[in-house]
Formats: sequence, structure tokens, C-alpha cells
Amino acid sequence: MSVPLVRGLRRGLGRRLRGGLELSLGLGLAGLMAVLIPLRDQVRSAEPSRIDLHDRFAPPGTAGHWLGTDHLGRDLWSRVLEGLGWSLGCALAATATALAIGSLLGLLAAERPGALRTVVRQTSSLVMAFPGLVVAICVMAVLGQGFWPLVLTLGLLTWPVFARVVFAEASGILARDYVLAARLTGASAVSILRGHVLPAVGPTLFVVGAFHFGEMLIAESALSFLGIGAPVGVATWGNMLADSRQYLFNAPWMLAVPAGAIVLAVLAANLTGDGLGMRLRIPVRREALQ
Amino acid sequence: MHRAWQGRIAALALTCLLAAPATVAIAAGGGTLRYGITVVPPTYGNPYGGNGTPGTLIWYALFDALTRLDDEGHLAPALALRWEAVSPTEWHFELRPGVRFSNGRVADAEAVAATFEWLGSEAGRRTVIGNELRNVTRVEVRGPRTLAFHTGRPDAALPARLAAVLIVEPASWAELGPAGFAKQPVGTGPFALVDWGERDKRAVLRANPDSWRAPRLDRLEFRVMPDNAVRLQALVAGEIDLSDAAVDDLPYLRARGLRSASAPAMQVMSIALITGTGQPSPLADPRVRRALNHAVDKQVIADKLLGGLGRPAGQPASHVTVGYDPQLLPYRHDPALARRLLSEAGYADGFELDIDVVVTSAGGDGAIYQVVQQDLNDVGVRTTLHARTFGDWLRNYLSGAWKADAFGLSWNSAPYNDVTRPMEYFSCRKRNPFFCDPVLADRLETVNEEFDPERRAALLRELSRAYREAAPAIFLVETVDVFAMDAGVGGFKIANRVPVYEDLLWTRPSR
Amino acid sequence: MSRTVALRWTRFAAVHLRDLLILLLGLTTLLFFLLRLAGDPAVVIAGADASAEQLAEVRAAYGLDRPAWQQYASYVARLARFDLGESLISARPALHAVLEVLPATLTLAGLGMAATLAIAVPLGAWLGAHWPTPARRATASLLFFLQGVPGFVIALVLVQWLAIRLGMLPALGFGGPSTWLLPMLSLAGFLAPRLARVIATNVAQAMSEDYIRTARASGAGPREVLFGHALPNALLGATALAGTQLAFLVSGVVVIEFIFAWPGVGWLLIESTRTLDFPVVQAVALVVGTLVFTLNTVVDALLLKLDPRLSAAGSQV
Repeated sequence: MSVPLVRGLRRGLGRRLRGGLELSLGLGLAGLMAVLIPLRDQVRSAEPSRIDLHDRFAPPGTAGHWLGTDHLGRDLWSRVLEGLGWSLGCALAATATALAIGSLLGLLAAERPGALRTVVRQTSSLVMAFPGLVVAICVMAVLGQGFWPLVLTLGLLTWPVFARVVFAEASGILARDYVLAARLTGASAVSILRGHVLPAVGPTLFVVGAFHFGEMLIAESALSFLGIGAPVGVATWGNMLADSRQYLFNAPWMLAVPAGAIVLAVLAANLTGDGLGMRLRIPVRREALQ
Repeated sequence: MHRAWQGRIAALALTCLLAAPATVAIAAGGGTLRYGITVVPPTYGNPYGGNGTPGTLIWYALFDALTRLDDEGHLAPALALRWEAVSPTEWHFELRPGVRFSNGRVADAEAVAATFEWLGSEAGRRTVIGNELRNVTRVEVRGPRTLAFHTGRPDAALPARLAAVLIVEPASWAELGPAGFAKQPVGTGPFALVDWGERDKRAVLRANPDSWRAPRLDRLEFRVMPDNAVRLQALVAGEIDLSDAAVDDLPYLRARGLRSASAPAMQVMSIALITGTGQPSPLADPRVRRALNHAVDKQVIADKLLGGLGRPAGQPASHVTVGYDPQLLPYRHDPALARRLLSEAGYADGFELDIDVVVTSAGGDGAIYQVVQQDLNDVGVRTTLHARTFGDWLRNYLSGAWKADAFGLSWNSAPYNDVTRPMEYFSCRKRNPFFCDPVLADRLETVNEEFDPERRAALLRELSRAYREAAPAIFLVETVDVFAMDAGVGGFKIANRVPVYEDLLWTRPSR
Repeated sequence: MSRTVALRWTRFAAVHLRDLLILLLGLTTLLFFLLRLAGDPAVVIAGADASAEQLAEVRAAYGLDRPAWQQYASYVARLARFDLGESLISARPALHAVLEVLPATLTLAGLGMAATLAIAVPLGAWLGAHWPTPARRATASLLFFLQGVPGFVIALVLVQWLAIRLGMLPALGFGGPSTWLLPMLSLAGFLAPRLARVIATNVAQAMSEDYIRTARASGAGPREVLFGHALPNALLGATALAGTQLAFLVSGVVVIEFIFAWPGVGWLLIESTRTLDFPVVQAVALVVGTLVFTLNTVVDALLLKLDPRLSAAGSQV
């Protein structure tokens, strides 16, 4: 999408490859974050949950706390690193759940016309029409706070995005002559799906998945911000934002640090998705996924 | 005349103004005061849906009970002028003469009795307040201004308990029913409802000049602002004149010329330790429970998280509550001693402790719980906090079917500032108890049968000592209610956690 | 010809009505059983000092003691008569509680959409009409960046900087127009970048189409080409997104309402979930669900009207 814009942007920076700038920026950011996750114990300056009430509200730049401390005197740099693992892990797991359910149902619906397709189609439009946050709040009230409840809630509410994409792509491919030919020569449904459909659908899934990852990251932080996502005290970006809410007056850095982290992570996901889409010439309209 | 143990308690000033009172000439009165609150009571003007804030914030402006707590926490006359126990199970109350409801009807013994009659009905007993009156068997009109209350068991605290029962105008109540009355409440308080203002979240009350506690303001407006930051901003911007506030915001507010006041909330925040369900648990050993008390640094919580306004606690009563013993010090913060007690009890390697807590959006409780968690972890008790919804928490509390080992529970002596109330739920007398010591339960029974105020207070102090030793909870801090206000607000006092509405005044030019 | 058109519209209405019924039934069923797993409202009604007898009484009085399926059947039966039950807490009709706060939410959504359009349309037209200059490139990058910033983060930052640091008060609550500004900007800050980018792309595409070249060749000025030809077509292409965004606004402003203490549907939802007021939670979900569905349907109908080719496309899941 927005090819002229990006073309202009790329021309200005002397890039040749389609989507190369986006992709390298996005993957670079994502890579940096991915590297920080296992290294977080080495690069952090304190225990992420260590409370020190004598060191509350230290502003950024304080010795030992270069990003400052929060209302309980916890080091924000250490917490933002801890949240990197939690928040990104949650968004990744939720995306994977939605992708797995959605692709499976999408493939089934494409492969098996009839009752099954109708059921998948109806369920998918039903779930898509749900007022998402309303249902999420109710589901979390039942499952309780935590990593897996959050993953499950987000996954179960967003799979139709993938089901739609996979169904559209897969039905197109299944209708091609060479697939019909393969079918006539006795190839099994599974081998057709594996040999012809998956390779064709895969790249699209990557692109949609990258955008979806960004959405899930936002959803996680929004639910935790409302107090119904991650458990109390756990260092996630949403929880950090929720904490900052009560200290807008005396500690603005408590807002700036997690907000910056979320924005960078979502930016990485969007850049990767955009770049990948352009590189692979997949006309994904991410607006359609909202 | 037996003025049931009121005014005899060690009196400590409840209200402490943090900033110097404004030295403005007090205007003749009148004007409007706008008070930012979190929520309109869910049951609106039906005062039987709860016995504390947020409901009482509005109800105390509209209604009166027979008795009430004054701004020092002492029981004082309200609709009743005098009362006495004529036998262990019968009390006589003499009503204040000439009191009228805001619709002009007379508030006589018949009218007051009608309230109690409804609360004793099937529908009435289902309400929070009707439920508190389960020991009252009969209310009898003995004259135009005299009522007799009959109780099942002797109850020395009955006059205090009645401070929680607000009296409604019986004809409107009967005619409109609870839901209808909720929309158009009629009481004897200093203000009368004009409009709940649901559309713009602004409940408007007008002065009820004929009230026996006639107000000095013309109007009182409650602006609904659920969020703490929103209320403070509105206060700074001059959109509201009064609000509750968080301790951490006080420096910011003072720097902007606002005043603040605080009063004890009559509560001791604690973590209740579950031992009464018959499940084997390390907590069954009193040494373990005392160890947990020694592990937590209550002083630093009081100093840093309550801004020095709260104080460390070590007994069921807060320092303004009947039964408080100033000799009883909080458990000393001593991690080494805690570890020693744990190993004496056979838990040198600690154990797992799951705590269910309810975290409000204001977040102050959450911060305290996290400090407790860390202090317990530091002595080897591996603690996990589980945030529950209030409904979920309450279900466990009532059924006793806890999955956790402990849970957040305040020793709440409000709304009548009597420590027997929280002691009852920390005893075998609670249904599905979480802590049950038959000896303590028996002693609690004898306290309620002791009608002499001095002897009753002495018995309560002994009981407080016994509770401290038994340590059915990790005692944390006495919490405070903090208010912030425009410098134009005058006559600000706090009684029973709510501003004394009839004394409030606005000292700036009228709006 | 007109008969086929009428037939098509009848079918359109029938299909959407059926889908709405399925949606409402699905939503009701899911929420009904979910909420009953979430907790026991009787304990909230009766309070912390309730005895077992009182709990039983409360349950009986509110019909909470019957088996779940019986409660479900009678709920659905009442629903068929447009009766959404009464609030367990305030005993008022649940539908009233929702309808009371709905105007605030709709106001916010409307304002958000208006601000989004006011920002996105001129910006998109400007970006897409000509080849990139440094200023356009910078704007495009900024839009791309903003696209990744969640609306509630924008809201928090706006409150922090405009309201608190710079003292641009008042910012919070639901008062006069001055309180509308920040929520409006937060929503537009989140939605406008997306819309602007789509409009820019569409405009750029339109500018290279044959009919534009024809118009240019026949002497139309650049202004006329843009406003008379390219932009209307680009906007047509962006209708679907704008519609989706409006639908999103109605259901998705919960967090924004929470931040700005806006007394709307989101606030009611959070409040009623906290007190386990099932009928109100369900009423919120049903009203919001219906509204979102209706908005989507109207957008569909609009597209159908504007571009009849779309009606042929029925192969989507």
C-alpha cells in the first residue's frame, strides 16, 4: 500500500529494493528487542521488581537509574526490559493462537464446501461483529488475570482475520487448473494443502501476522491498563502505564518510558509488515484488518 | 439517664488540617459548593444498599440516623436526643422534637418506626442495612417521641449500630417503592435532592433550611468523576471545590494553593491469614503468624506510602476507635526474628503463600500489597498476589471456599467506630469463619453484654491484646481519608469519613 | 431493471437482518454463560455480612437460584419482547441505563470521526496529489509513525503535556466544548494517519488514471483535476475504511472514555462488570453490538449504492 509515498521516501534515501527500507528498519528494531530479551539480566541495572521506598520517583538520569524509578522506587529500565519479554511474548503467543485457529478453519472452509464452510463463515462473521473489548472484559473476568488467559482471550477473539485471508487465498488456489489436475491424479487433500496451498498462503500470513502482532501488543497494554490484563505487580508495559496514571503530576517519566517502548515495538511490527508486503508484492490492505 | 458510653473514650482529635486554615473573612453564607466524587451510589437515594462510602457521601447530606458519630469519632445524638437500656434486651430512644422531612411531613416515632418495620420485612432483610439489624426483634412506638427497641441477644453497641440506619420519609417510601424512592429521596438531612443529573453526571442538592441541622450553603453539587487524576485536575482548574485526594498528590496540590485535610478512616489494613477452615497450613502455628508480622516494615509504608498521615498498626482498633490500647505497640520490623520464629516452627526454608487481594483503581492498596509481598519474600515466604474482583473476593469471603492462604481484609470499625464489628468477622461467630478461636469468641460475647462503658472499654482493650498475640492477620497500617479543597471552602470537618455538610461554607463571592 | 434493483435491496435487507439476529443470539448466549461463571451477583447485593439464608433469599428474589438453562430461556424469551431486564443493583431497566449514557459515547465517536475526517482528507489530498517533496516525505514518515501509536497512549501523553505541563485546562470529564478537545484529538491522532495514507494512495492512483489525463489534456487546471476528479474518487475508495473506523469508535472508545472520565458506555460497562450487574453488562453488549452492526450495514449499503459491482462479490468468508 501507499506505494507512491514510499517510493518517494525510498528514492530520497537511495534505496533500490521494494520495501527494503521498511523491512530493514523493522527487522532491525525487532532484532534489537529480540536480542535484549535473553540479555536482559545482563544489561539491566536492578531487580525489576525490587521495591525501595526510600528511592521513589527518582527522575531519569539519576545515578543507577538512567530511566528513573516509579512510585515504589523500582528501576524503570529494568522493568521495561522485563516487560519486553512479557508483553512481546504475550503478543506473539496471541498472534500464534489466532493464526493457528484462523488458518486451520480458513483452510478447512476452502477445502470443504457445504455445511462446514457455512459454519466457519457464520462463526467468523459472528466473532468479528462482537464488540471486542466488551467480550474481552467478560472473558478476563472469568479466566482471571495472567499470561495465558490474556493470550487465549486475544487469540479467540481475533482469529477471523486470518480465517478470511486464508480462505480467500486458498479458494483461489484450489480453483486453479494445476491443483484440479493434481486432484484428478489422486493427490490427497492433505498433500494438496501442503504442496500447493500452504506455500502460496504462507507469505501472506507472515505479512498479516506482523500487523496482527502490533495490534495484539496494543490490546495487551490496553487491557492491562484497564486493570484486567496482566497480574498486579508484574512488569508489563500495560501495567507500567496503569501505574503511571496515578502519578501524572509528579512523575511524567513513568508514562514516557513504557509509552515509548510500546510505540517502538508497534512501529517495528508495522515496518516489518509493510516492508514484507512490498517486497513480496502482497497487496495487503492493513486497514481492512481493523 | 444512661448516655451509653458516648464521649468517654480517650479523645484524640480526628481532624487535622494539614495546611493553615485560610484567613479569609467568613461571608454571610450561601453559595454553591461542588464536590467531586467517584460514583453516584449504585442504589441512588435508597440508603439501604450499603453502609459506607461511596453511598454515605451523598446519603449523609439527605438523611439522618437516630445517632451519629461526631468529628471526633464519638457517638452523638441525631434524630434521637437520648437513649437508655431499660433491660439487657430493651432500649428506649427519645426523639428530637419538631423535626420535619424535606417534604414537610413530621419525623415522629411513627415515621421512624416505619423505616424499621420495612427493614424487618422480607425485602428489607435482604438489604445490607436490614441485614445488620438481624438482632433487632421488634421496634415499638411508645409515645409520639419515644421508641422501644427489643433485641434477641443483649447488645451494648445497639445505639452505635443505629448510626448506620438512615431514616426515610415513610409515605414516599411506601408510595414509590425502593426503586422509585431512590430517584426521589426524601429525608431529614440538611440538603434535599433536586436532580440526580444523570446526563451530565452532576447530582444537585438544594439547602433544606427547615432541617434541624440547617446548612450554611445554598446548594451542594456532586460531580461524578471516577478517576483520581480527573478530580485533582478539576480541582486545580477550579471546576470543583472539594475532592478526596491521594497522599502522593498533596505536594502538587499545596503548590497550587489548595488546602488539604485528613482523618483516620477507622480501619486497620491487614492481610487475614486463613486458619479456620481445617486445612493443614503453616499458618496454623501462631509463631508463623507472628513471624509474618515481624517480617513487614509497617513504618516505612506509613511514612512513604501514606505520607506520614497513617500509622503502623499492631491491633484490631485504630487509635480513634473504642477498644484501642495505646500500650500495644505494632510488631517490631525484625526480619531476623521472623526467620528465627519460622525455623522454630519448622519452616526454616519458608513456604508458599498465596494472597487474594482486591485492588481498587486508585492503586494505593496495590502498592502496599506489593511492599508486603517483597518483605515476606525476603524472609523466605514465597508470596504470590492474586488480584480478584470484589465480587469474586466476596464470594470466597462468604462461602469460606478460599483457594488462597490469605487475603486482604481491613479491620473496619466504620460506620460506628466500634471494634467489636471487625472482631466478629475475625472470629467463630462469622459464618464459614477463616479464623476461629473459641475462647476469643466467648470473650467477644461477654463484651456485648457489658453495658457499663468503662468496663466495656477495658474488656475490649484486653481483647485487643489477645488478638494481637493470636495474630490472625498481618497487621499493616491505620489508613486515612485525605481531602483536598479550594481555599474558599470553610467550616470543613470530617465525621464518619464524610464531610459534615451542614457546617460547610463557601467564603468566596457567591457563584 | 428497477425490479432487479428492488430485489437486490430486499435480499440485502433480509441477509443483514438474519445476520443481526444471529449476532445478537450468539452474543447473548456467550455472555450469559460467561457472566454466570464470573461470579455470584447475590453476594454483591447482600453485602459482606450476609448470612446463608439471606443469600438464598436474594437468589430466590432475583431468580438466580434456578438452573442456568432456565434462567437463559426466560432471559431470551424476555429479550424477544425487547425486555432486557432490570439492573440487579439499582432495579432500573437495564436498557434505560445504557440509553442514558449512549449520547455521551455517540458524541465522542461523532467528534472523533469529524476530527479524523477534517485532518485526514486535506492531508491525504495534499500528500497524494504531487510527487514527494521533503516536506511531504517527512509528513508521510510521521504519519507512518503515528499509525503505530495506540489511541490511549496518545490520550495519556496529551493529558500529561497539554493539560498538566502547559496548564491547558480543563481537559478531563464531560463538560463543555473545552473538554471535547483532547478526547477528540486522541481519537483523531490514532485514526487520521491511517485514513490519510489511504486517501493519499487513492489520490495518487487516481492521478495516473486515463480519465485524469483526459481531463488534463482538455485543459482542466490542477485544482480542478484534484478536487473535481481525483479526490471524489479517492474518497469513494476510502468510504469502507471510514465506515469501519466509525464502527470501531462506537465500541472502541472504552479506554479513551476511561482516561477522560467520559460518562459513556465504556464507563458503564466497567462499572457494571465490577458489580456483576449482569443485565446491564448484557444490555451494553447488545446495544453496542447492534449499533456497530447497523453502522457496518449502512456502510455496506452505501457502497452497494455507489458501486453496484460490489454486490457481485459474495465469496468472502
